[in-house]
Amino acid sequence: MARFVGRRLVFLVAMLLGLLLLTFAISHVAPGDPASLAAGPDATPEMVEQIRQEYGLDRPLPVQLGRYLLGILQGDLGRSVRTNHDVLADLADFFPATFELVTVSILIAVLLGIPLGVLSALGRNGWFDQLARVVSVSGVAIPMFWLGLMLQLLVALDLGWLPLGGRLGLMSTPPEPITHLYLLDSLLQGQWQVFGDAAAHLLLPALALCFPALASIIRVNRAEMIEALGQDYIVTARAHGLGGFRTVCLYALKNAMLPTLAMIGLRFGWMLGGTVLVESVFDWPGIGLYATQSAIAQDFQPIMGVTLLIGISFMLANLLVDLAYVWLDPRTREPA
Amino acid sequence: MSGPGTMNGPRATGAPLVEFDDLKLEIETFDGTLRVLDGVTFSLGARETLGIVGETGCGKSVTARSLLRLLPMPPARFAGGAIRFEGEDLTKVRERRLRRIRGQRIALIPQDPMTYLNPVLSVGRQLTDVVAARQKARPPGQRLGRAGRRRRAAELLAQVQLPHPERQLEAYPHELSGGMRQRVLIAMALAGEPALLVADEPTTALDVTIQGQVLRLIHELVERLGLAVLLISHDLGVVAKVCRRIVVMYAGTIVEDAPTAALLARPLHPYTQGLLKAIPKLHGDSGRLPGIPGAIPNLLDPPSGCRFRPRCPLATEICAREKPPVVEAEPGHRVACHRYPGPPVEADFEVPR
Repeated sequence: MARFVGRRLVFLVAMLLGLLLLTFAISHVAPGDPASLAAGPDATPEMVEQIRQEYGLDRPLPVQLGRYLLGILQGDLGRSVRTNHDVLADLADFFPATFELVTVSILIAVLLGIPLGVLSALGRNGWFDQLARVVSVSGVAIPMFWLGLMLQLLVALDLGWLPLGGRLGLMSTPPEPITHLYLLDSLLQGQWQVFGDAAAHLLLPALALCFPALASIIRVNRAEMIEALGQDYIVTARAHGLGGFRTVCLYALKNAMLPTLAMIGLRFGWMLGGTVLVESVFDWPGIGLYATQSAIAQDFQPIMGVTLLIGISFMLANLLVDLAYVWLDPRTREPA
Repeated sequence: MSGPGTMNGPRATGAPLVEFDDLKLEIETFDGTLRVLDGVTFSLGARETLGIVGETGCGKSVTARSLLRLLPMPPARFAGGAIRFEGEDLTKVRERRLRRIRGQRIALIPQDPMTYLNPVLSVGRQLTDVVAARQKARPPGQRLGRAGRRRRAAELLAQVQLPHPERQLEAYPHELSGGMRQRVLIAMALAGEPALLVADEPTTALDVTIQGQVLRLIHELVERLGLAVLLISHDLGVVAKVCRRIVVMYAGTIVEDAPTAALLARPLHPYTQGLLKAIPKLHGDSGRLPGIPGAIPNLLDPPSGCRFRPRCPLATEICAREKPPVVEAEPGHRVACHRYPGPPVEADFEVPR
């Protein structure tokens, strides 16, 4: 087990290096001149040149790359040209909001998707299955931002049930930061009103964000359950008088979960990317919104920082998926 | 420890343990209705060993599965007849009741040890679950606790002569060989107090050497525990080794039902005669083996009258008109052929060139 984790971590470092090269390359092939943008529309060529030197943009590419990597090793992700803030500090500010949103979304998708998939498989082609099929097909087909807008229009504007956007209402003060996750912090401090407000603000963006993942988890889990239920080992279980819920849940689902798990890991990554759209729609102060604002201003350092952060989160999530695989499937364990 | 051995009652007399009575089974498919079993009738007494032989697709496995109602229904459905077991019609009992019979009174040894064990659960887990299911048949005070179930699981593994049973409980199916897996499946079948063991091609997927071991084990257990056995196989040799009586099936019907020795020495039905002639002999002339020309019929539209008629060298006009009744041609020797009752006939099959 330790060897498995160790090897995965080595892979992770290699992938991280690749990711760094990629983020660096993207920022340098993208059109636009960050120095002249930072200097403003009225700047003289001398001022632009001065900024260029200040940020090291006049050096040869390999040197810039070396400085970039060295900086990252020291925790320096550069400075935003737009706000002059330290990118690392910005990310630390914005990431908890995104983490909260994505975690809640993936939890909804998994906790709802797996039972729905199981129930659809059990009542194959029944009314419930048809209903779940409608959900899953529309989940795959409907763009996230459109769904977000529709939810805002219907639930927030027309019905007025939930707030339109943001992370907290004007009447609430953010809880004392412990984890920087509003739900958790308010809960830890027993601030029920703040918790309710935070949850109400979270619900719509989380729904919009989780819908495609929910859809594909239902579909994959349904198909895998049907497959598993048709296997010989289910016949064995039934032949020995095991039946009903237990057989289904343990004997079939544990097998069906293997491909579903891979899908969950994949969907987590897509979700991180999806935050860019959903956070913009719901004005959610996370790294997605931060990335959008930086991109509009052609502010490269924050974009590189966000890309790196999303990449690392994705890798860590998939490391967790790999570990869960080992736990679920004895065949992937190495002989002792 | 009250093992399955305590059930060796005096049930050997009186009514048969299992009675298939004109069982008809159909499977609905996209192309139409398959008439898979067409009036299967035979019975099996307590402690009797009966083998069912026939080619692939003759309905022998379906017969075994219908006994435990393990076929997906729908698309399969009973279209008539009954299966009586210990006084109950298994085609009619409720699923809940059936769950108490499966494993408890009728145990199954499945065909392929590779796929019939759950790959992601340990042997111990699967075996103790089966042991746990068996506890429901006991009065609440006598049910085994967690540790007791595990001990019982290890005992069962010891009973099927698996070395280091305690250690095997921790193993996963992929860590065991085919023969060991088949032993685990046999151990599962012994977890209850079965009166009947259904073995569906239990050795087909095994190496020849392992086949012998597993057959010996089954034979030994059956003798010791006094079980009745329904052995399904396409291998007459395997069946003859274990069973006192053999039923020959063809295209969903029973063509012959006789004591093993009588069937091998004097097969009455043309199909059985063909089957026996197609077995290669170790000694004697090494010419080409005769085969039975033609193929098993399409069950969507089976031949009228006798289903073997299109391949039978002795077929006459009545064979196309009427389904042959089962007659007792000799004492204990039943055959479904229009030639009987009457003197034994001999069917000649061509030797392919």
